[in-house]
Amino acid sequence: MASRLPSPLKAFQSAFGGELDQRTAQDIQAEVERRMRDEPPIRIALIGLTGVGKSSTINALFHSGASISHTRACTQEAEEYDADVKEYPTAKGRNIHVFDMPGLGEGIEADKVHIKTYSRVLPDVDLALWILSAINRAITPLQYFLMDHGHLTPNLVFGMNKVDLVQPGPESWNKVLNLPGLEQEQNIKGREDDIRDRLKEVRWKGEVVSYSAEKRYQLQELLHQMLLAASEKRRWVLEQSTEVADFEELVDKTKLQKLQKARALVGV
Amino acid sequence: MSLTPEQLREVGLTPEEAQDLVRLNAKLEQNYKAQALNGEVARRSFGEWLSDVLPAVGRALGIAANVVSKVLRSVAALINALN
Repeated sequence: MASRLPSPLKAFQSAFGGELDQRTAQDIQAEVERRMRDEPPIRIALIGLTGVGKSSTINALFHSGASISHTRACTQEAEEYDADVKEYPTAKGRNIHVFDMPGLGEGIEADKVHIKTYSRVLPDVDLALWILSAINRAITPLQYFLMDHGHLTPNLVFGMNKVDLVQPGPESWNKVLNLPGLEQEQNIKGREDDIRDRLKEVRWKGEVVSYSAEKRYQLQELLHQMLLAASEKRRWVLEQSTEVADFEELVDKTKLQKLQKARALVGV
Repeated sequence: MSLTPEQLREVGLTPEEAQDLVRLNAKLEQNYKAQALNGEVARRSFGEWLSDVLPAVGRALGIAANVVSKVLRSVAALINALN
């Protein structure tokens, strides 16, 4: 569930304590609400190789995990940036614009083309989410990119998706708790540390969040880093666009009931 | 609220069950905290945005500058209350 923003009207009324007439307060409220609606849609660059789970990530963050079927091509932006841009309706009614960009590592020539696209797009988006697959260890092209073009990416977040597939493998994911198996959890942490270290090698200081869009695992943590990557005055627009898929829905109901009982018995 | 395996064993759970529930409880707590934090980040951001927008709203509606200043002070108080 997303947060409720404070009501501007309440703020005005508390400020004036009766000094401001109701009509003026309502006029201010209406005008602020109009400007809230007119705030431009959030623009996200989504970067990643085919199969890393870009669509499932968008669905998990903005549509409670359900598939978003009605997208619209943003022809004007696509032409302006020579990129694939789509408008997604979100569960909250605020649309978002997603720049779908290929990841690096498909070949030298292809990477050159992609980096040119990044140079056009990244300075103009609210944030960029670079999605890596937790089971693909190749990040050298990404290190080169950050060394040469790190200045383009102050608003970049790295997400490591598909942690449910990390060794020993998908069968070790605990489906009852909707958590990684114990050995898998250690391996996920190791993988996350490894990526962080390799990004540090190229002096990149941003965050890496491990998550699973499919298992709805650590999506709030991913959203948090995305919020911090956006500019201060645009964060509320991003948060108001999201409808994050509920992790708890995938936990076995009997286990949740047992936990509730245990909490009551212990008295917490 | 965090739970410990010892607490759960004392109320009759097996060590395995206790370990499971401790892990699940910790993850749920972490999830609620992250959700609350995200809401706080959004509210603070909204306050900043509102502080920027209000003077323009005041001018557009022809509201006296001293009235707009009062609204702005109220918004500042609102943001402080969130910090």
